[in-house]
Amino acid sequence: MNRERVRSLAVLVLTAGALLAAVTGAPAQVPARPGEPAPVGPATPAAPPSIAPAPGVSASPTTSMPQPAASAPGAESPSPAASASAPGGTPASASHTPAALIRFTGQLLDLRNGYVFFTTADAFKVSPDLRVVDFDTGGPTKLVPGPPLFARATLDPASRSVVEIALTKRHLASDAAFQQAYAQAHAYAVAGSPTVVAPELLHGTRLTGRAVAVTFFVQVPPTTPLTDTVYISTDASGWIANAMRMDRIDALHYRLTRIYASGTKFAYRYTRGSWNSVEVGENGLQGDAHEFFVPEVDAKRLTDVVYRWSDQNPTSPQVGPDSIPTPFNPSPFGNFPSTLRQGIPVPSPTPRP
Amino acid sequence: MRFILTSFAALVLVLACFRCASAAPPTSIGLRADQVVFYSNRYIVTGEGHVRIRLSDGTLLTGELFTMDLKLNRYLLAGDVHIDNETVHEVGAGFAGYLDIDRSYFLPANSSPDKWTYFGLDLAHPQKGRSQPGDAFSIPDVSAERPYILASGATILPKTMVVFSGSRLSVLGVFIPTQKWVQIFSANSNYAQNGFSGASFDIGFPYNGSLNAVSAIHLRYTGLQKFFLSFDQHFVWDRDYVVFSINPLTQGDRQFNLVGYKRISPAMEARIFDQLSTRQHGIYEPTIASGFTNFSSTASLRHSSLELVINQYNPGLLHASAQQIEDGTADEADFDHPANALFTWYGRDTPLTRNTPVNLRLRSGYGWAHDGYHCGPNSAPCPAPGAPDLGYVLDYFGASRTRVPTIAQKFFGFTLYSNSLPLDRARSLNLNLTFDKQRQWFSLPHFIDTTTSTVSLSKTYTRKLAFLGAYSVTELGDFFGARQLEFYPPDLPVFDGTSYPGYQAFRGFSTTRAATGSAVITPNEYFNYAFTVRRERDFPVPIPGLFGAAPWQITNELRVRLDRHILMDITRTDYFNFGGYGPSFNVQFGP
Repeated sequence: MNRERVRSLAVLVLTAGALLAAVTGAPAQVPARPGEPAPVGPATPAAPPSIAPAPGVSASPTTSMPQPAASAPGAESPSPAASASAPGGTPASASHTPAALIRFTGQLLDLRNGYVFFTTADAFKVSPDLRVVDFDTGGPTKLVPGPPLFARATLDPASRSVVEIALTKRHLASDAAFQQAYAQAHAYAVAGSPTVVAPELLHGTRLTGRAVAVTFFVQVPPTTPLTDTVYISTDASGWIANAMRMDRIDALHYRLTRIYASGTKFAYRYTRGSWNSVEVGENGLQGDAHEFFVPEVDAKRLTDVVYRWSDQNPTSPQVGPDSIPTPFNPSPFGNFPSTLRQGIPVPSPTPRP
Repeated sequence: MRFILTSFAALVLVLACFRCASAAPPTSIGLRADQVVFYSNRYIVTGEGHVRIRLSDGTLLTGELFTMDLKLNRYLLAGDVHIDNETVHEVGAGFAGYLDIDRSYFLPANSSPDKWTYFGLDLAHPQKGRSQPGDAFSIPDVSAERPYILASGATILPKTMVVFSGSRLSVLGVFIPTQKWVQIFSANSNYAQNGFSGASFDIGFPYNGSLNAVSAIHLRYTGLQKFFLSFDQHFVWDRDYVVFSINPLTQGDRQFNLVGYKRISPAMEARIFDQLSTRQHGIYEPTIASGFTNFSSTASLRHSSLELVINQYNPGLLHASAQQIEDGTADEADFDHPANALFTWYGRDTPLTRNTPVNLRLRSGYGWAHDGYHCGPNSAPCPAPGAPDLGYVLDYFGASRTRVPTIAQKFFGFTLYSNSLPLDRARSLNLNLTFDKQRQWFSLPHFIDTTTSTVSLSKTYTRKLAFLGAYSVTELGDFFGARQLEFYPPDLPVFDGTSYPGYQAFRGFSTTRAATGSAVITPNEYFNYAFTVRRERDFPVPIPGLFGAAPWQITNELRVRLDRHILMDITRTDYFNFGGYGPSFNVQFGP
């Protein structure tokens, strides 16, 4: 009972504090531990699984955190003093120390209604006296904030707003250190609604686009002619029937190894060089194209079986635009000179053009 | 009361369906912008400046930058985004559509920033605060890519095609105006079904398209016909297709082809190929016209499949006068219409025994052929000079030359083959054995046997070098029993001044022995070289241009990727000891 009273009292105090904060404009949250910025708005969860390589967003806090020596254009030197004098450096407010400034880089989505939006989907409040400068010179720029420009933003934790944006058309690279540092800037992102987990995004693997060696290994019908070549036709190559030539490794198997970025997705079929000689399923029917997705692994081996080729028919003539229709002929030596058959006519109609 | 309840239930159902319909992803995305660019290497479409997007439900989106990854099937509109339809008017920083998972993500900027998720196109009911993919608003980096198409607008049919308008196509770095261009990226290979005969050169200009149809003009070249234009029209559905083509369009000797496929049920399919060949000037009445139709249908059974193939030939489709026939300017065979059908059963692979690496494939069938050709001066010769034409004939049988207008056959065949047998695992040395035999019995008293035996050895060195050596023997026999000499008497053919005495020993039984060796070198994905040599020893000996294969045949094939877009394939085949046959040489460029 006492515990419930204590809890009720605590809730009452927090509510009163929140109301007071709302009236005075002070943050409602309890200040974080020393050295940590106070978050604004509901906490945003970690980036959910994506189905494509993540965009380049980097951050460089001007705290005492050591930075890599060879840094991207958006990187700052580790010392606060150097930070203040860096190109495009932010004139820090008199009430805040330069060490509190957070600088990060990213690609812009928009600057609208007092907020700057990045491709990370994060929005940051901008200061009324926001400075928009050139990334390289630190001086005035003719660039207008918006996509697909990259920017280095300088965020003042005290006012929780971005006080300067340095624009460039160059792609600002990111690396692991910047990604890690961006978390600090991320804490100041503004969001109006509490985060709700989307179940459809929970299952997945983060894909980085790494190079994956993919080996296609196919078993062909035993009746495949020894001098024939097997190809892979893909939607990525416009379904050209002989797009990727496979290497024959024995009488029944062909192989092909290609390098793909993880996350690559395409459909493919096996052919012998034309759509008249395409693979047929074990059930004798034209099957669906094989779907393939490159996972986040070092190497991947795909094993398929071609049960029949569509042009291999025991006794029927081959048909198709490329073939010459030939009526049924019971003679197995159709091209023999007719003198060999003592005047027996060999039906061989001349196809009209 | 029942009526009220029923009406209420119907109303609920209609409303539910309405909701369902509005939650579906867009079936088309209409894009207009100052500049629309297609990057073929990445399958990315971008639009910059005054971007207007019209979704299939009528919703209008405007913004500054549009990107769509056609393969990942997701798009992004960024910068000063406005959403407008009958009920929704929103302003934001970004709008992303994930069509595969039927979600749209929005960053509103009306007042306080937020993250909204829409279910499909149900833009009236945002799910506020619902988590979004981490890269939903990422803009693909195409700075290192070369544009393939520049355009002023595009209609994107997700997972299928993009129809560009006001387009210019990059050809060897020069942008050529095409006004309209259809770029197909569908995973449905039926868009690639071909309705043309072969050509040395073929470049297609797909000038119009919709969800299920593509129209294209082709510039083609053959050694005989030189350059000409052709036309083809594709109609494509999920599994079914119809392709109609006119080839060539700009020359008198013309083929009209129709290729169709229908998946009747999950276990049954049907195909049709119809060809009309004409000689005509422009669209005038043809002077020559013939036709051919092939129909086939396959049904899948539990452990096998059944196939029916029917062929119909119409060598002459035009009326000819009796005088023409009398003059010999028309051939009676032109008015014949042979037909044949074949019904085949295919068994699936079955291990011969549980513990042996040998598999068995069976096949069997029944065939029928009817109404061959008349004999005559312009077609098959009559049995004896001056003998009357007795009508349709498929064969003349026996010493009395009995006319045979209908022939039936049945056949049975099997293939025995081993798995790849490792002789030396450490050295990747494998052995393969294959044995195939088929016998055809005819309604005439003879049967035909075909037997093929193959043994091959293969060896691979790492993944870059592979060797194959094979020896194959094919025996083909036409058995007439005691009447063998009646049908295959000794003969001494002479062609081009060369006599072939070996044929005096030919009694209707041939043997082909072929040794094949090949080496394939693939050091990387940009280079591939294959060398194949084939040695044939046949009985009876081949007659160049008439029968049999060249005793020696050497093929060199070189594939080099010139850049990310162009693959060059050079193939040369040389024939030796085969009547002076020249080499065949082929150069092909592809993506």
